[in-house]
Amino acid sequence: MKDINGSAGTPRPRYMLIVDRGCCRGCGLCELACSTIHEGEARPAASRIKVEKDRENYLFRPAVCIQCEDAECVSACPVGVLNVDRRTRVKVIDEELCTGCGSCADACPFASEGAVIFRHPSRSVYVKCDLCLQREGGPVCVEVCPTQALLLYIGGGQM
Amino acid sequence: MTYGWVGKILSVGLSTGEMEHLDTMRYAEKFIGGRGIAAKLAWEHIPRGLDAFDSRNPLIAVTGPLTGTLAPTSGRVVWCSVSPRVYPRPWYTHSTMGGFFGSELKYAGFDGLLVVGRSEQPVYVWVDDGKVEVLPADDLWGLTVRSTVAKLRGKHGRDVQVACIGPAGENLVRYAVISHPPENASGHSGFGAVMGSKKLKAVAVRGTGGVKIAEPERFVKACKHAMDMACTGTADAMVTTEYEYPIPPERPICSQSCSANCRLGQEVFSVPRRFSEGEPIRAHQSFCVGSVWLNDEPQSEYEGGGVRVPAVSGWKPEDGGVELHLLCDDLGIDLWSLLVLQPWFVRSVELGVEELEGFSLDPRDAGWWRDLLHAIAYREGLGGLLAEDLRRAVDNLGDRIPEELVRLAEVLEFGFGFPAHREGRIWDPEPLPFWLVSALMYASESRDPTICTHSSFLLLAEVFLDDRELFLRKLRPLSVRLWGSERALEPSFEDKIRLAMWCQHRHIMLDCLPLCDFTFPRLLKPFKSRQEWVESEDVYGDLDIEAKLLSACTGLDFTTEDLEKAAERVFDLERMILVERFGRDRSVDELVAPHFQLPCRTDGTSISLEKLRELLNEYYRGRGWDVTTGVPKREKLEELGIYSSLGCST
Repeated sequence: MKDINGSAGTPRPRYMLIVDRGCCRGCGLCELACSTIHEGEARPAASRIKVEKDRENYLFRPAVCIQCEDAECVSACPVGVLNVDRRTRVKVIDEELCTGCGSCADACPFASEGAVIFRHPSRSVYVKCDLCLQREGGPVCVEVCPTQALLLYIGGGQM
Repeated sequence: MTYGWVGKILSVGLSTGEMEHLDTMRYAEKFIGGRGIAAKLAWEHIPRGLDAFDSRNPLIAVTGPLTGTLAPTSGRVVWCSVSPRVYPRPWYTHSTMGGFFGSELKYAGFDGLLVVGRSEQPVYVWVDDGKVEVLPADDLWGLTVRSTVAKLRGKHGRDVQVACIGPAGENLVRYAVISHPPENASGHSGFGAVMGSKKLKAVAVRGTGGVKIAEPERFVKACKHAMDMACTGTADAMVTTEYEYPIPPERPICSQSCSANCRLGQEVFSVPRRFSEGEPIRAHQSFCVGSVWLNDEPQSEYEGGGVRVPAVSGWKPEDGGVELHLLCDDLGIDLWSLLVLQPWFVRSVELGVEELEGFSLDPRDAGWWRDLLHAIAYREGLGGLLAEDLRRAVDNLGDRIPEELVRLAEVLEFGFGFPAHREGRIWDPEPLPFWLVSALMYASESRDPTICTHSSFLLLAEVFLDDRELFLRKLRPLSVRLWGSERALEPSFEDKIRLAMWCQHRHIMLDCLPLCDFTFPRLLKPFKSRQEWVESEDVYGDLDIEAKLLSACTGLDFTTEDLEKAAERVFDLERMILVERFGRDRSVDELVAPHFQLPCRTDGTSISLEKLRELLNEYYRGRGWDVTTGVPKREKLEELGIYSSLGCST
């Protein structure tokens, strides 16, 4: 596993999103906010968090990368552009260098839970949740979720 | 690069099969979107005296620059056309719809849809990421709304958003809805029948594109601010006992208005599942979705038009009964029509009318209503008569019914065939001055005052009624600032013109962006408790929310004044459509006068014809309209920048 900024042996906190499905009401604000920040457009198809919405039955299933400890997507990337952020241990795809081969998505054990790593709907790269690392306020989906169905969890040390 | 708008409006000719893309930006600068752009399209496409069922009648659906974005309640689309419901003769009007159809249309690459012509055979329009096909709908024609959606989703995929009609639309029931299940519809204006007349069963849309945002972080901030300001719902919440703050998290404010998620409903109650087995859904809405027809709580007994309407028996699904709300949705009938028909039939029975057209009357039984609604949707017997709407039905029944029933129908649908709404006589408690604002709206617009009036004014009426002196004391500074007079909200006839115009312009602004008019404008700030309302000196909310959202979304610098100006432009353009194409003038406006000579049910106030005429003089002058004719003057249209593009005779 390769860390951004090189590797260090000391335990670091682990950042991840926790989803409480029972609270989700399927409003889709998370998808709109995510795509607004990452894409500059409101575009659910490009959102890194996806909510499967069964409105008729009032069932909603948000799916997002849980930033696995030993992430198989990272080791599967043949060109080494899926990296682990040193501070947060978030797994980040370098979209400028991604070749769009899809090995990461194939390796993801949660693929059946929804598209947590997926091919961008109009660019030939793969994308995934980066917990808005570049954003001052942290994950925008957590910020806008009106039902507190999303939570930024910061675990201590190695899990 | 264009932000907010996606740039194209899809035009489909059903008679010719021709398709065309119109440039949205040709319209956007002056008319913003939604109702504004629709009015311009209508001006270009509606000839003088056009009937609703004429194949040339354009069916228009336009989103706005905020549709499909993070802006709270922006997932709306405005339908416009010549409405078959308008009495005695159809004219142009609008009817908005929440849900996900508008957003999906934008994600598919279109800001709007213009359908003209008529197909020989039933068809539906399939829009798939910019690709458009008109496909046969023989296997859909005759299906209920839910079956139609299920079939289209089976064919095109689960994520497809559908706007469609049920049997009522196919059979040209004058108050048939365009339905967007679950729970959304373009209701009052009977546009479902316009779709039916075009043999257009449905529009199905899927899009994977997006709506570009000029300044993402600023926009997110503006959206969060709007949500925070709107978090307590309508103004009346602060005096109701159920009021809770903060709003429990199981009640989000929706991004796509009018899903079953609205936070504005202050009550949480159980709604039986319509579509599946299992525990009831904890619904978060006490109006729009459900309410009167959903439960057997006290509110299902109500008074309408002076008639005490008892709770309907035998409705409970768990008792094997029928749920009339669901039935209306499925047949594609405007749910509100029940609020007109029910008191009318209850009174009929009270007056000893036992049957009409061979149909025995039993309006206290839900099973009877089920049969009647079916008869209406399929135009059978008495249903065929009522499918023409109550006013026309009463004209046809003539002297076969007691005179009082004729009068009652005239009162219930006094507004050119639209149900009485927020006018203080039939349902709602609006005391003076609130009903007076409604009266000026009825007199000058194409349909009943829609919901902006609730949020900006008419749910303020509840606060007014709770403690009048407190209310007036707190609102006086705002009255001066916004409407130029301390007396604007006093229960009197003085200084109401600017208030009424402001209300109308703020409403149009919302219908152009679009945003939900139950939620905005935020005249008052949110209060954590009734106590805080009582103790606050400054009660002002934020009336610039709309401009802030639009500016951050589009990257164009809009002020509230810009938007109010655009709204006035749209208002006068709509008036010009009515004037030039449908013969609207002052004499037509004055037809609403008798209704307001009836005493207000809350405070007993009323207005004489003479006094209303005086107010109309003042109103027309305030608008820059000719006082004799009620037609916008040339100078006003020039000032609004639309005179030359109208090419009209005034």
